[in-house]
Amino acid sequence: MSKDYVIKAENLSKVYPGDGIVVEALKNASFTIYPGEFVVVLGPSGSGKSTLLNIIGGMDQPSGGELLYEGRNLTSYSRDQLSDYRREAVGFVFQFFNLIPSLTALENVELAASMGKQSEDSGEVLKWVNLAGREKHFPSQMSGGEQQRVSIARAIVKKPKLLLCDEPTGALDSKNSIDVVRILLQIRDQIGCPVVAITHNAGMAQIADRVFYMKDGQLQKIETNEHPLSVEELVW
Amino acid sequence: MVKLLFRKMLRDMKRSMATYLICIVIVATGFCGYSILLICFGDLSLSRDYFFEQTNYCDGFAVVEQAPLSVIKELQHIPGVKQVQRRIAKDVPVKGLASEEAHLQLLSIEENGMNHVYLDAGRLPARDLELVAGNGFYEGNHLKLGDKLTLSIQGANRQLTICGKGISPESIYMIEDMSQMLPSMDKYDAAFISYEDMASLYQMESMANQFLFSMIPGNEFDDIKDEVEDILDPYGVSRTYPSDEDMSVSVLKQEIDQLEKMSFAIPVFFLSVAAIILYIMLHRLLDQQRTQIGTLMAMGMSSLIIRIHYMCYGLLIGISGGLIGGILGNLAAGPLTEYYQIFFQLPNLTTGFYPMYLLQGMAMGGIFCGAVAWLCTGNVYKNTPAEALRPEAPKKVKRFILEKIPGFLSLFTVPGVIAVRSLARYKKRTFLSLFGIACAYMVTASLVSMNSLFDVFLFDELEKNQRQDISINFNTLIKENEALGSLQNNKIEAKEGVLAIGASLETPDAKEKLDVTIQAIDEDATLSRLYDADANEIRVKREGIVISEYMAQVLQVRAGDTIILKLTYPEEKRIPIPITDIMAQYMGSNAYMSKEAIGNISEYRDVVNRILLKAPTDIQEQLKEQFKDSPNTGTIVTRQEHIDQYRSMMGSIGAVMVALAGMGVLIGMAVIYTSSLIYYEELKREISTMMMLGLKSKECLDVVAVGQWILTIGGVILGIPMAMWASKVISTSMASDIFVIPDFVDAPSLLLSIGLIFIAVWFSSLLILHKLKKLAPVELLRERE
Repeated sequence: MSKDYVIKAENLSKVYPGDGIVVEALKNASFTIYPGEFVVVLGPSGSGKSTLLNIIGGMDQPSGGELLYEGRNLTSYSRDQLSDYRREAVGFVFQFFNLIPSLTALENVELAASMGKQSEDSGEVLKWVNLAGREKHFPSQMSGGEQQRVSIARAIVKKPKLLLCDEPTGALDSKNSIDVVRILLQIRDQIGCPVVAITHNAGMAQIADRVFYMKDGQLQKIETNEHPLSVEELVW
Repeated sequence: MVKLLFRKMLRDMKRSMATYLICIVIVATGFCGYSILLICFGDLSLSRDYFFEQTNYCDGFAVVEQAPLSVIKELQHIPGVKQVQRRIAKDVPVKGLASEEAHLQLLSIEENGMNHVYLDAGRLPARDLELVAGNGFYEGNHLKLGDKLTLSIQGANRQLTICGKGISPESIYMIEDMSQMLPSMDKYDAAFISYEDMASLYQMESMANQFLFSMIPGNEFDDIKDEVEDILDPYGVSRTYPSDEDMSVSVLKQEIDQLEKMSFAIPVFFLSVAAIILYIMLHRLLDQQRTQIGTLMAMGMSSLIIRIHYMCYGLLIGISGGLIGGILGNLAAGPLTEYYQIFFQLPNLTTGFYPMYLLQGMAMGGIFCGAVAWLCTGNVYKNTPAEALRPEAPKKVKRFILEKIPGFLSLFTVPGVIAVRSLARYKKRTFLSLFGIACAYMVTASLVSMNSLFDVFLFDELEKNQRQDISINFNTLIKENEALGSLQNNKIEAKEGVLAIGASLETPDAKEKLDVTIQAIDEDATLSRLYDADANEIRVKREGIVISEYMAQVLQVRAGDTIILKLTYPEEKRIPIPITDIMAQYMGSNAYMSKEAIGNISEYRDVVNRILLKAPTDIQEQLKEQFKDSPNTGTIVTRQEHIDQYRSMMGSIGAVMVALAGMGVLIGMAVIYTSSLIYYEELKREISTMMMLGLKSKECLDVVAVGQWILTIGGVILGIPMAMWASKVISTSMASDIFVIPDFVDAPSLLLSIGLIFIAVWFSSLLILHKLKKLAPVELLRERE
């Protein structure tokens, strides 16, 4: 049973208490994520996409509902257990790369590799994302596209079970965005781990296997793309 | 992972090297002081212990007028006593040397006995009118082995041959009384001679005027004092005291004790300042690296590891500071030990390199700074990774408390207003900066005030209390009218006799005791002046006693109370006596009475053992000449010579004080510059926006500088009472039977320190202006972080 899905969510909700105002960032979201699929979460700002991603990634706890990872209930996990979950199962790619500025490209990837149990060789992964020869450069010495590729290398070096991308192309130009999307698809195809990417770029939905539509904290619908476009067909 | 995080830390530190270096320097300064003082403490203690063992230093002394040796048997029967040794001790003038005031304390020694001389050259004296001269006297007068010294013994000149030079525990720091403060060994030192020669020179065969005691382990001399006094009562016992109360030993002990106390106080202070800077700095770093922390958490790194990572920043600073401080301290301890060697003629006083202090410094610095960093990182636990990845919500801008004052804001430009509001926005940092500046001001003001302390401490006694030009001290009691009557020169402006005798003061319940010197003076004395704490002159009365503030504090009495005065000569007496006044006294342990008062309660009537003279310079030599060959004359002291000696000493100490005050200013600058730098980093975006709007670097400087000026003024206001408190703590902790340190912070020092701290702010502003001139606003505004 647990082999059938990577993530299964039932009625997930998240409430942020504020100064007299309660913000319902996520309302009763139910969905499943299967191995080897590319899921795009689409929605405008404030629709609850990031909240959803954070909860799936174990970076935040839901206020209600149930979240299962390969049959294990993440909602009952302690902070330390969630850390272990992130360390072993999840890879993150962020909009603004979030590389450690005082570490080189290789060192950024090595840091993540050092946390995994069966990590790949960091240098090889950097080559795989077409960054051979840039290993010793600091993030400040690289372009946005290059930094995002380092960020992807860092996310996949420990062979995650799930790759979560928060607006992975949001800070990039069209050429670099397409390069990044190509790499994400390669990850799905060659490594076989599901990729969940949130975006408000509707174009990106065309390459997804499934598209989650979100609005005002609600997962309004899930569409399955019968004929996803290839990267070459993608118009940015 | 550890290696990578370590690399990250080093590179982060490199980016803000100046602030981290400041922190390391402050920690290093603290541990440098710690190492120096502890090394000197260790060297002095070891050397003293070794020396005391080598010379078989006794456990207690009894001083009598003259007693037969047969009494030794009786003394030896006191339970706890291991051994009793006879001794004859006499002060004797030395003729024919460069200094007319030269005199020696002749001490009889026994072969393999107690208080033996530690020979530096030559051999022990045979029974052939030979003596071993004290090292200081020997070298100060350029003497050689075989030279003959002419001693004036009981009115006759006797020649003794120098057979050696050496030192004993009692002659480490030779001063005649505590008011002298500094030894002048070429003029006064010990000399060692066989008992037989001594007895023969003074016609004291089978007699002694001192007894030395060694105790069976587990017994204290203090416990048998009363019994000793009872036995020696018929022989005019004047003082019994444990060996650590010997003046020379006591000065050494006090110095060693103070070194130990200071060695712990100094690093605590410097570490506290470093803690403030480190705390401010790491808080800023954690704010800056909020996203990095979130990313590390997202990668699965536990909060604990992240916390440990940031704790390592503190650890590294503490360990580096401890290491550098330990090395510098080891290097600097040598010269200080040599400096001590000038004062304390301890044999085998050497220093070496002590890795132990390096390790201690590293461990203590690491633990302390690590702990500060650990406290700083407490918030890492609070955020989930998702929260950490979101930029922190801007802090609410609140109005600064001073804004309530009408017209306050109109004092500032717009950048100035930003600065003022930033103070209210970052309350914790504002408070820490304020406290740091106050600490720096406290150190600067305390150190600057030290100069005035020495003025009060040394010169009050010599210039305010003492008014004579010459004091002639006699070996024995002499009739006052005869002594004064012999001084008929009409140029003498004033002549007064003084009786100085040893006594004890006790509380009526005998719980508290204090050995003092009673100075009996005329009720209308003009050459010995006494003042209370408010500098009002006070006088001795026909009855009663004037005691010092320190004595009053120890005995827990005040003016109007009655205490017990214990006199031991010619027989032991305990007399209740009222305290008429409490006086300020910084040096010595003198209590004052009128001659009439002491005459009424004892046998000391119409006798003195000191004459004070006020006379013009042209007849001073003549007056000295008149007394110098008298058999009863002990020493002749010219007050001006003492003052000159202190003034020359103050020259070198003054330079040290200037250096120390400079250090206080540097600490102030470190705190001010660090907090300026952090405000600058924090407000860089606002500054860039203002530059884009057309403001010049100098105008933008207000954003940082105005805040620093406000903090500095606040820090100074807070620092003034702190400096006064520090002065009080130092005074109280250093007070002893021998000297008392007055509260020493004064208005000129406070003002000078304000000036110095303001210079530090100004200099710090210049450094920030330099940074502002290099700022590229467009690039900065383009950056996300």
